[in-house]
Amino acid sequence: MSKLKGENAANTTEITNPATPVTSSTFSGLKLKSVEDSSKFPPLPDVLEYSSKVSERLNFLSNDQLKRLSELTSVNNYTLNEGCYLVQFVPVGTSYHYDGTMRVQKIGANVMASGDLYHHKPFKIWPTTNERSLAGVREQFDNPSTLYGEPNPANGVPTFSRKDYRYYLKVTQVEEIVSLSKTFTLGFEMWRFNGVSATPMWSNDGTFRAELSFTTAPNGYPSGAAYLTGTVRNAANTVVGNLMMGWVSKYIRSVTIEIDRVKNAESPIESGKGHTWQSIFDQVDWKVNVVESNNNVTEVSGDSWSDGEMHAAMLRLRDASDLDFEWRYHILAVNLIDSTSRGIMYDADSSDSNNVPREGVGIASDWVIPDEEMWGKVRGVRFGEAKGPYFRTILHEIGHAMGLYHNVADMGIMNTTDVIAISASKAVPFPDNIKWSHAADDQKRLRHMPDIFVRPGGVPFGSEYSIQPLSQDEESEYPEGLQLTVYPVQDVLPLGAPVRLELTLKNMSNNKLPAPRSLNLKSGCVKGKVIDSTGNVRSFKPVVICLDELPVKLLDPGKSVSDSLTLLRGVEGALFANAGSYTIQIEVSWDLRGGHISLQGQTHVYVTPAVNEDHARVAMNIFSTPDTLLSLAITGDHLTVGNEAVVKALNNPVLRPHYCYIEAKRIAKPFSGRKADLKTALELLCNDAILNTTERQKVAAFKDKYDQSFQTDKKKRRATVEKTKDRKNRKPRK
Amino acid sequence: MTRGRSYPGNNGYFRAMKKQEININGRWEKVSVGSCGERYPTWIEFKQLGKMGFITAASSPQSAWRPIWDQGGVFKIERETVIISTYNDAEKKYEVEVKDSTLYFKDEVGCLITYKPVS
Repeated sequence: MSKLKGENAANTTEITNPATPVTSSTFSGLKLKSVEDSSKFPPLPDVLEYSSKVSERLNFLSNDQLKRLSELTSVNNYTLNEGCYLVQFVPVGTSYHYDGTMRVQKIGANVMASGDLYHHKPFKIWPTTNERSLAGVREQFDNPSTLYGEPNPANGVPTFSRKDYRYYLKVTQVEEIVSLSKTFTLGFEMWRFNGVSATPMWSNDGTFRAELSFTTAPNGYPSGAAYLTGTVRNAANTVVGNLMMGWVSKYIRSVTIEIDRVKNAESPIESGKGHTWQSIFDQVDWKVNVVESNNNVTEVSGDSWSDGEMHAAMLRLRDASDLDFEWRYHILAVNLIDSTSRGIMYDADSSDSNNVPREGVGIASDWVIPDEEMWGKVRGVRFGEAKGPYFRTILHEIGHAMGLYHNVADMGIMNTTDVIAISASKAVPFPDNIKWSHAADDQKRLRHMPDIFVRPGGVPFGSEYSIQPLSQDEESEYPEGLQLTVYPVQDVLPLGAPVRLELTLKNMSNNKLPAPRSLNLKSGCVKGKVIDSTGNVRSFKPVVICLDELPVKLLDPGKSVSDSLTLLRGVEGALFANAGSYTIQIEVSWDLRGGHISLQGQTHVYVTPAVNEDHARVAMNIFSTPDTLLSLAITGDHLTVGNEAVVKALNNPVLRPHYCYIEAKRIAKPFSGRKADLKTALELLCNDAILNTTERQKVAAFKDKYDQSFQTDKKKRRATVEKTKDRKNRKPRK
Repeated sequence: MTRGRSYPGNNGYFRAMKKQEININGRWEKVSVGSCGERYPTWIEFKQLGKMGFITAASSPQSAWRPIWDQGGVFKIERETVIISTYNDAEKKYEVEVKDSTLYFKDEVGCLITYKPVS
C-alpha cells in the first residue's frame, strides 16, 4: 500500500513577516488554514512513496538492468510516465461519461498525481434508424468519433469546456511502479465541483480504486505502450465504472500568452539573463506558447490606463477569445497604469466587466524605479529597461491570473517586488536576488490545483464564483457540431428597457445535423438565466408555448437557424432591475428520439442608471407591473395595466425607443371591434426605434399591409368617385 | 456609507481630523462584522522596514474570501489617508484614523472597517 509522505504542507499558512530580515513569526501561535481549506477547496495530492508487491530491491535497479531482467524473466517494467494522460471515465449504467486529464509528476522514486474530469455526453442517439425523417444522415457516420467530440490524443494536452467541469481527482495510491505483471492499482478521491455559488463548492464523492492494465493504445496516441484500462471500484468494492488513460504529452498543462503593447512599451518576453516564459514554466511542466501580437496599441486617454480601459482593450484587441478551446491569457504592456506603479492583474472584482475572470494583466513600462539604495543595480532606471524586474513582474501578474496569491516563502515569482528589493543585500543586490522560479508550494498549485482554479475564465480571483455551470443535467445530450451564438441588439441600454437578443444556431460540422426549425421563445425550446454582477440568478422561460412537439429539420453544413428574443421579466420578477453588468445564459433544448438535446450560449449587457427622476419613476413602474410582460408577449387592449406602463415608458424620451414597437404592435392588431390602426402604429415607430430582427420584419409587414390597404382604399375611393360620376351621368335629363 | 459597522458621529468625522502623523504599526484584529468588511483580513500587521511599510495579513479559516490585503503588500501613510497594495497589486487609498486604541479604515465606497490591537 502507498504511504502518505507527511502532512500536506500547502494546506496551512503561518503568518510571517514578508521580508527576509524578520522572517520569524510575528503572529506566533496563529496558524491559519489558507484558501485550500477543504470546505472550499479539495486537498492537493500528497507525495506517494514507492509501493510494490515485488521485492523492494527491484526499485533500485537502473532502467538498463530492469530491461535486461525483463528479457530474462517475466518481470516487466511498467510505470506511469511523467506528464499528461488523457482520461475517460465511464460510470456504470449511464449514457454519459467523463473526459479529462491526469497529471503525473515524478519526484525521485516517488510520484504525485491529480486529475480533472469534464462531463461529456456524446451525440450517440444518431445515426437514427428512422430513415424517413433523417434520410441521408446514416452514411455520414462512418467515423462517428469525429462527431462525438472526443479529444484527439495526437493533439497533446486537451482543453475542455468550462461548463462541463465536474470532478477533481486527488490520487492517493499508485501501487506497483515496477510490476510483475501488466497491472497496478490507482487509488483516488473524487471531489465533485458543485459550482462556486453552491454551498459547499466541493463535495467528496469518496475514495475509488482502479485496477488498471497496460494495453496497446488505440491509433492517435503518441506512445503505444502508455495506455491503461480497467474497472473502477468504490470503497464498498462495487464496480462503478471503467477508466481508460493514455499518455499524450510530457507537459501537464498548455497555455497561450498573447502580448499586445503600446508603441513605446517593451515586450516582456525574457529576463535578459536567459530566463524565458518556457524556461520558467518548464519547471512546472507547462507548455507556454507566447504570441507577440499588436505592437502599436493606441492610448485611450493619455499615457496612463485605468483597469477598465485595459479590460476593454483586451476585449477589443486579442486574437482569440474562446477559453473553452485554449487557455489564453492576455498581457497589455502600456506606459503607465492608474491603479498601480508596476503591474496588475486587473481582471478581478468590479474591473471584470464581462464576468470572465483572470483573463488579462497589465504592466507599466514607464514607471521609474526609485533612486534609492534598496533598488540596487536598477535604481533610477525606467521599468521597461530594467529587463529582469520587468519580466519578473509580468510573470507575477500572470501568476495571479493562474490563481496564485502572494507568497513570501522565498524570493520567487509570487513574492512582491518590494519585499524582494528590501531583502537584497550589498553582497547580492536587487535584482540579482530574484529567484527565477515559483515557490515550492506554488509549483505544486500550478501542477495540481483543479483546472477550474487555474484556467482563465474559471473561478474568480479571491471571490465567490458567480456563474454556475450552465447545465448540471448529466442526462442532456450535447449536440456536437451545432453552435449557439447569442448577441444583444444593444449591449448598453438604459434602466427599464427590455433587452433584445439575436440567437443563431449554426451547423459547424461537415454533415447534415438535426436541429429545431425555430428558436422562437414560443416554440418552447428556449429558456435561460440572467445573472447580475453580484451573482444573483433569475430565470426566464416562455409565457406561452404554441407547439406540443418541436419540429426538427436537417440543417445543412454551414447553415443556421435564427430568431430574436426580447427579455424583460422572468420567473422571479424583473430581470434587469438595477444598473450594472449582466450575463445572459440561453439554453436551447429539445427532445429527439428518446434523448434530450441541449446546448448553451451566453452574452453580456450593461444597464446604465436612471438619468433623471422621471426616468427612474417610469423604470420603477415597469419593474413593479408584472403585466408589462404580457403586453410585450401577448398584446391586446384587455391588458390595461401592462399597456398603461408601456404608454408611460413611451412618454419618457429615454425609454421611448425601446417601447414604441410594443405599443405599435398592439395598435396594428384589431381587437374586439377596434380596427387595426396601421397608420398610427407606423407613426409610432420613429427612426430611433430599437428593434430586433424579428420585430424589424414585422414592421416591414405592417408597412406592406398599410401600403396595400392604402392602395385598396385608393382604389375603393376611385371606384366610388367613378360610381358617383356614372350615377350622375346616368341621371335622365329632364 | 455602505453596510457595515456603524460608527457614531461618522459624518464628517474624517474631515475633522487633525493633520498629524498617524502611526498604525503593529498587529491588529478586525472587530467590524458588517458584510462590506468581509473582504478585509481578520488579522493584519503593519511594519516599517527602512523607508517602506509592509503588511502581513490573513483571514480566519471560516472566511469565504481571500482577503484583499494579504502578504508582502506595502503601505504608505499620507496625512489622514493610507495607500495599501492589495492582493492583485492594485494600490488603494483609505481614510485612516487611530482613536481610543481602535484603528478605523474607510474605503472608496465608504465601508468602515475597524481593528483592535492584538494583545
